[in-house]
Order: sequence, then structure tokens, then C-alpha cells
Amino acid sequence: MEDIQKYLDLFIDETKEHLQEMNKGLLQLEHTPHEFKFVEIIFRSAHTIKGMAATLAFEKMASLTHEMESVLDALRNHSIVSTSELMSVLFRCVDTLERMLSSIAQGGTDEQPTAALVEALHSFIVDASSVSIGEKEKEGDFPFQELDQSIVQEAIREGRDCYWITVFLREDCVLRSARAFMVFQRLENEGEIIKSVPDIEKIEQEQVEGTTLSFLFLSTKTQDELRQLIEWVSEIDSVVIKKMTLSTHEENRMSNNENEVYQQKQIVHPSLDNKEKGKVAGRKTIRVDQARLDALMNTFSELIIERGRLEQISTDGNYQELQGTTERIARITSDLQVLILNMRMVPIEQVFSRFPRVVRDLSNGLGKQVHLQIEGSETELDRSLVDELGDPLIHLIRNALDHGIESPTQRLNQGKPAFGVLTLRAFQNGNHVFIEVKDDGHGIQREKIIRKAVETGIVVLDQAEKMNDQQIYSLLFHAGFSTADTITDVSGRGVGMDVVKTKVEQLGGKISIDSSPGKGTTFLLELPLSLSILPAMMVEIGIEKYAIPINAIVETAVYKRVTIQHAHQTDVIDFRGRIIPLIPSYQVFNILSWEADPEEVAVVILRYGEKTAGLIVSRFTGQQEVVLKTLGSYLPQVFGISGCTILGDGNVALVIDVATLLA
Amino acid sequence: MATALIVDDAAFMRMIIKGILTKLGHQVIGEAKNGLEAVNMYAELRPDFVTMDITMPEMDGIKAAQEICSQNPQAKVIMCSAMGQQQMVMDAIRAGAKDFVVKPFNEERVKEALKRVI
Amino acid sequence: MIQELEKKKMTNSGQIVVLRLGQEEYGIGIDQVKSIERIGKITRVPGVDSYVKGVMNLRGVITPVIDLRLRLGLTESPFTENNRIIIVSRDLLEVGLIVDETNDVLDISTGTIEPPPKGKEDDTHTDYLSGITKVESRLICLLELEEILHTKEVKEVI
Repeated sequence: MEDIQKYLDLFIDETKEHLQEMNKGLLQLEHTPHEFKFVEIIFRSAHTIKGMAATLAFEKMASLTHEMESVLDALRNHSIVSTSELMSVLFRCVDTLERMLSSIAQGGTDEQPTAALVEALHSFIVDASSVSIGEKEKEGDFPFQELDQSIVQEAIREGRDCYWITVFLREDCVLRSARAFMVFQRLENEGEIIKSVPDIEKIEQEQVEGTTLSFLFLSTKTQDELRQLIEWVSEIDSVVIKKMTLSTHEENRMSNNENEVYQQKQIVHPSLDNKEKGKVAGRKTIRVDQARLDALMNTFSELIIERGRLEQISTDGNYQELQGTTERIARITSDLQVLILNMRMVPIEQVFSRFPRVVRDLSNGLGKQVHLQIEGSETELDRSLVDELGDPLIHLIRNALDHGIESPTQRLNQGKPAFGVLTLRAFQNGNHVFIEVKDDGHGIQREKIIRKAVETGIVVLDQAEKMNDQQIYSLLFHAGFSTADTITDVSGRGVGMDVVKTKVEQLGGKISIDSSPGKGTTFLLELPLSLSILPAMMVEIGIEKYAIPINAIVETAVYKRVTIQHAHQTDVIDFRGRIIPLIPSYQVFNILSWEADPEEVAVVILRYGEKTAGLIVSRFTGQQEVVLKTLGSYLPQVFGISGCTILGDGNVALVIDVATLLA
Repeated sequence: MATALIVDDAAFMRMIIKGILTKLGHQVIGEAKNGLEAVNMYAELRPDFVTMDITMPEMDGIKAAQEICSQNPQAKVIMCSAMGQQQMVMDAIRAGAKDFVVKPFNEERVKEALKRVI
Repeated sequence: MIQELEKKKMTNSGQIVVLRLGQEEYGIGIDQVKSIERIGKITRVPGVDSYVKGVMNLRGVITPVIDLRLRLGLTESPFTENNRIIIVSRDLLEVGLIVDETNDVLDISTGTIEPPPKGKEDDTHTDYLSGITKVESRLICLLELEEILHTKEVKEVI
């Protein structure tokens, strides 16, 4: 029983990935219908899912993917053309597969209505007349350049036949370059290869990756002879030969409509390009149980603590030999630390990857036109966050599309371009990952929010009128605040902002809104890099020990009391020509053991973003690496404290949160 | 129905290939365990085709294929390669080998390769 | 409440850990007690309720510690050799309770559990008791952990 579960888990994981690949491929294919490499990608994923589903006896899934395969196969054989109707059906097939997978993941079956889809898929193949090579002209999927065209024209005028040959290797062909080489060799013997894709260098350097080979070939042989020649090579799936005539190679014609759609391509897929590159680089991966990574991390944290203790013993006891080993251990554990932390980090691209599809579907459903811009998808964050962020982000996207971005007509009336822009931006700063969801819609209407809040009893009218914009926006996060009257949620679910906020806070993060009426709204999520081993400076304030993350420290200094000035109800000091505020840490943290030195004051100069301030401490006690631990869910959020750490002596020191302190 | 010379330094592999070839209706008339033996046995037995492993002592499969093909232009040599031997396969083809099959062997593949060659 | 105790009885045969605060004895169901520790170094955490003494390192786990006397509305008392911290666990939450002394583990039968005494009207501290039981001549107040660990939600200031 356990075994089956393991297989099932793997099946679910892999199929999920492949379905993502299919979605991505379909989107790419939709934008560039002449790029057949995308058909390959989609076909391969469908094929793999089919195999897995069949093995686990998910008949319906297997047969649906099988039907998809047939259509995809016909596409790549050029026997049918891609139309928007075909794309729609394929998208719907992927959706159905997703529903099947979802049901299976919850312990159910792959039972979903597929009859209509299968019929639609069939209709595409039946419609297509059998391949008449040379008669059916494929606009735009001619992979050869202008220059080649002129060579072709020349050759044809000389009485040689020019062929455009596409060879499809079998899917399961392992040594593709070797096969490509054989085909190349055989053709070379019978004519002149003007161009080959991939070229001979790539073939000889074993860089053939796909299963499609294309040749622009001059020869006096007939089509049939050439076909026989090529098909003689083993592991060939099919060969398509087109005879070129002077009229067949026209420039790619694209109507104006298509141009507009294709513009979107630039903006939508920069992250996808990166992934493609990653694929080319051939990054090998191995699946690891997340629980094992957790265990690894916990054990490693303990190691760090012991290392700290070892270092202390070594210095205290002045054991020379020990010092050498301790230093080496420190270096090795530092390296280990980097490795382990990296293991759990995954690029946020994993979360972002499903969004283009979501935006496409939603905007279609809502009759809005939206460009999705994704930035920083290579930003990495902890695996555990990645799994949890999908839903809240989708909520925010839905919200932006539903309530933020206006309809094309409304936008044009306001002098905005018909296409709204939704930007998803991820970046890292200090110990946090920030994700921004920004739209250029009509922003948050203060009055509307107040009205709704008063209606649902969250605030009283005069209370509301006294609130500033930020406070009004925060009302959106209140449970019970629902813009039910304007919900046109495509999936029928309620879009509660309070749910988003709760989720983000559960993940240890924060969410804030900013808006500009008429211009747009920005949601900013701040999330912790959940595993943190920080280089920190240890200080004492009174008799209490605190750790300050080094990346927030500019400098440490001792100021003479007389140099402290007073401005605007705060003590300030001159730091390199700038006047910066002094933070009375003993007040902020209620430290009763604080004793002010009459002459001097020790200050740690902190910086967060644009802000700089000096934190008053009693003394500096050195630097060390600390494992940031959370204070736990029993205690409330403490102002100015991000967590705690266990010191070498086993005691706990609090870790200062510079961001909130300086805000 | 053709005669075959099997070349591989592992007795186990020779047994496997022999099994497949026999099942396909061919007759194994000789077994060589390195390239040198292969060249000699080819001259002696004149099989219809040869299955040639790549990594072998004394003389490797590519060298042997080259020897056999240059001495006998009509020779039909099929290389038996592993996944990481793509370059060597290409070298063998250049040297005159007619086709290749990737290990682990699969009756279908061998059948297909032989169809072309015999 | 009787049903609750019945349920507890089924899972742990009604054993309680008996602790002392001042002159009185209190009891916590043994299934909720993870361990009993001596008082170690407690790191103060600013900005928390006064009965929360801070956090301590318990074999690598950061554990919040509260003074049970303060929590129950009794006056604070300086620590002695006898003080112990009872680590209780509830829904994955682990908290340490500082008590004057831990005594023994007793078996109690449902029959002798009475509802807790009603204190004065504004005295909410009886919420923390789930009942009273008598074993021989000892009167033991049973603690309602849920209430004791109930953390006040920080109200959002709008």
C-alpha cells in the first residue's frame, strides 16, 4: 500500500510539472504558431503523461492524452494547421487533465467529462486532407533565411531540384546526433546540402537535442528516391519532403492583428526564456523529499550552535591546536551552510509560471485586455514558501483584473491605452523577498471603501473620515469586507483580501497596499527568507544580549555625549556629515538594567533602504554567525525584534529587526 | 536468414546477442572477444553481417570496423553502443559501419537495423 | 465538563501532575505535560504581557515561559531551588509554566470532580480552572490549559 502511495506522489508531482509545460508550450505556440519546437514540447509532455497514467491505470487520462498526441503529431507533421479553435480545444484538454489530477491527488479518480473534447480533437484530424507535400504552403515555418532563398532561386534556374526536407526522429531515439549524422551523410552523398538545422557542427559536437532535422537540399534525385534514402536510416519516425518552387518562399506575412498579439510575447515571457536557457544548459536535477531537507537543515542548525560553542571553548581555553581545527571547521561549515541553504531555494519562477495562463483566461473571461509583465522570476526563495504563495498571489491577480483594471473602452475614455498592464515583480532585499503585484487600473476609491466598511459595520462613518489613505486601504484586509456586489469571479469563489493577509502573515510575512486613484494599485508582499543563518554583531544593552544582522550595519562608533544634539523631540548625531536620529534602545525594549554612561555613548549605525539611524547600546561584544529562530506562535509580534538565536553558551539572545526599527 | 559474427569482450553480452539473432532466424557462425580476433575471424568466416561492440581490449570496435570495412567494402558492420558513446558511433559510421544499435538491446531495434543491412 | 474529563480519563486514565503555587495545589492532565525542567536562563522578551517571563532554550527548541502565579492572578514570588518549569503541550504549541514546586502524579477518578468555585463577579481567574478534586485530604484545583494558554489577539488599530 505504501509503495503505491509513493508512486502516486511521484506521478502527481511529475504530471503537475508536465501539465505546466504543456500550458507554457501552448501559450508559446499560440503566439508563434510557426515555431514547431513548441509542438514538440507539448507532444513530449502529453506522451509522458500518457505513459504514466496508463501505468497507474488512469484510463481516462491516458486516452485523453492519447487523443491529444494524435492531433499534436498531425500538427508537427504539417498535415494540419494550427487554428485558434484548435488551440482552444487543446487548452481545454489541459484544463481537464488538471482537474483529473486534482481529483486524483485528493484520493479520487480521473473521471471527468471528455467526450466532447475527444470529438473535437477527432474533427481536426479528419478535416485535414492527406498531406500533399508541396501543395500545402506553410506560411512562416520556413526556417531558412533570405540568403538561402537566393541560392535556391539560382539553383532552380539551373535546373536542379531544391527540396526542403524535414526529418522526424523517433521520440525514443537516444543517440540523436549520431542518427542526424547518418542522415546528413546519406544526403551529402546524393546532392548538396545548402543548410541544415541543426548545422553539421552541432551534429558533430553531439548537440542535437530535439527530434526534428531540417535540410535545404539540392539534388537531381527524385522525391521518392530521397525519401527511400533517408528512411533507410534506423529510428526515423517520418520524413516530410517539399519541393521548392520559385513562388513558395515568400516573406512571412503577418496581419496587423497578429502583430499586436505578438507584441505581448516580448513582455510576457522573459522568465520563460530563462527557463529555456536552463534547459539548454542541461541542468540535472534529483528529487528530494522535503522532509529530508528539513531534517538536514535542523541538524545543520545544531551543528552551527555547537561550532559556536567550540569556538568559545577554543578562545577561552587558549588551546592552540584546537584553534587551527576550529578555524577549519568554521570554514567547512560555512561552505556547508551555503550549500544547504541553496538546496532549499528555488526560483520564484515556479510560482509565476502558471500566471500567464491565469491572466489569459481571466482577462478573456472578463472582457479585459491585459499585458502581464513578470520581473525577477529568478529571485530565489525557500521551497516551503513557494508552495504556499501561489494561492494568495492568484487572489491578488484576480482582484487586480476584476476590480483594478478597467475595460478597454473605459480605459480609452480615460486616455489610457486599451491594454492594461499587470506587473509581477520579485526581488530580494536583506533578509526578505519582496513581491509586488501592480496594476495600472483605476486605483482604490476611498469613498467606495468607506461606504462599504460602514455598511458592513467595520467602522463608523466619522471614524472613517478621520483616517488617512493608508488606513482606509488597510480596511480592505478586514474580515467581512467583501466587494460582493462587484465580484465577477470567473471561478465562482469569493476573493477575500483578509484570507490573503492571513496567509501571508502565516508565512511570516507582511502585506501592504498603496494606491493612486486613476493610476493604479500596488500590493507589496514582504516574506522572510525562511532559513536564516546570519552574520551578526553581538551587543549588550544593559545586561541583555542582542544580535544585529551585519548587513544592516554601516558602522559602529562611540560618541561623546556632548556631541548629541536635539532636534524635533529626538536625540540626533552627526554621522559623516548627515544628521541621523538616535534610537534609545533601552526605551524601545524596556531594558531596566540600562545604565547610561555619563561621558560616552556606544552607537551602532544602522541602515535600511533609505533610512539611517544610530542604535544606542552599552557595548559591542563581537561578531558571530547566528541561526535565526522564530520566537514561536505563542508570543505576539514584538516590535523591533525579528526572532532569536541560541548562543554558544546555550542562552537565548534576541535578534533585532532593523527594518521595523527604522521605519 | 543470414550468417553473423558476434564481437564483444563480455561472454554474457555475446550470449544475449546470440539469443536475439537466433530468435530472429539468423545463424551465428562465430564469436570474437576483441577487435583483433574479429578482423581475423571475418577474413576466415565471411559472415553476412557483424555485430561489433565498441570498447574492447587488443583492438577496439572502431578500429576493427575500419579494418574490416576497408578490406571488404561490402562488409555489413553494425555497432553496438552504450549511451555515452555517441562520438565513437559517429567515428565508426565514418569508418564504414552501416548502422548502430544502442544497449540495452531490444529485439525490435536489432530487427530494424538488420532489415536495412541484409 | 464531566464529559471532557471522561474523555481524558479514557486516554490517560485520569492521571494528573500536581504542582504547588503558594499554599494551594493544582493539577494538569498528564497527557498535556511534556516534561518538567529546572529553571534555567530565561531571556526577557520586550512588549509582552507581564506574566510572560520570556523564552528559554530547551534542548534547541525556543520555548516561551510564563509565570503561572501571575497568570492566575497571584502575586509574584522570588524563585527558589524548588521552582520548576512544567512544559505543557497543546496543538503543537509548547509553553513552559513556572510553578513553585511539582509534587507528585496522582490518579483521579471522575467521581470526585466538582465544578470550580465561583469567585467574585469580575474575577476571571476561575476560568482557568476546569474543576476541583479531592484526593484523601488534599484539595486539588484542576487547570484548564486552553484558557491559560489562550493568547489575547492583538487588536488591530485602525
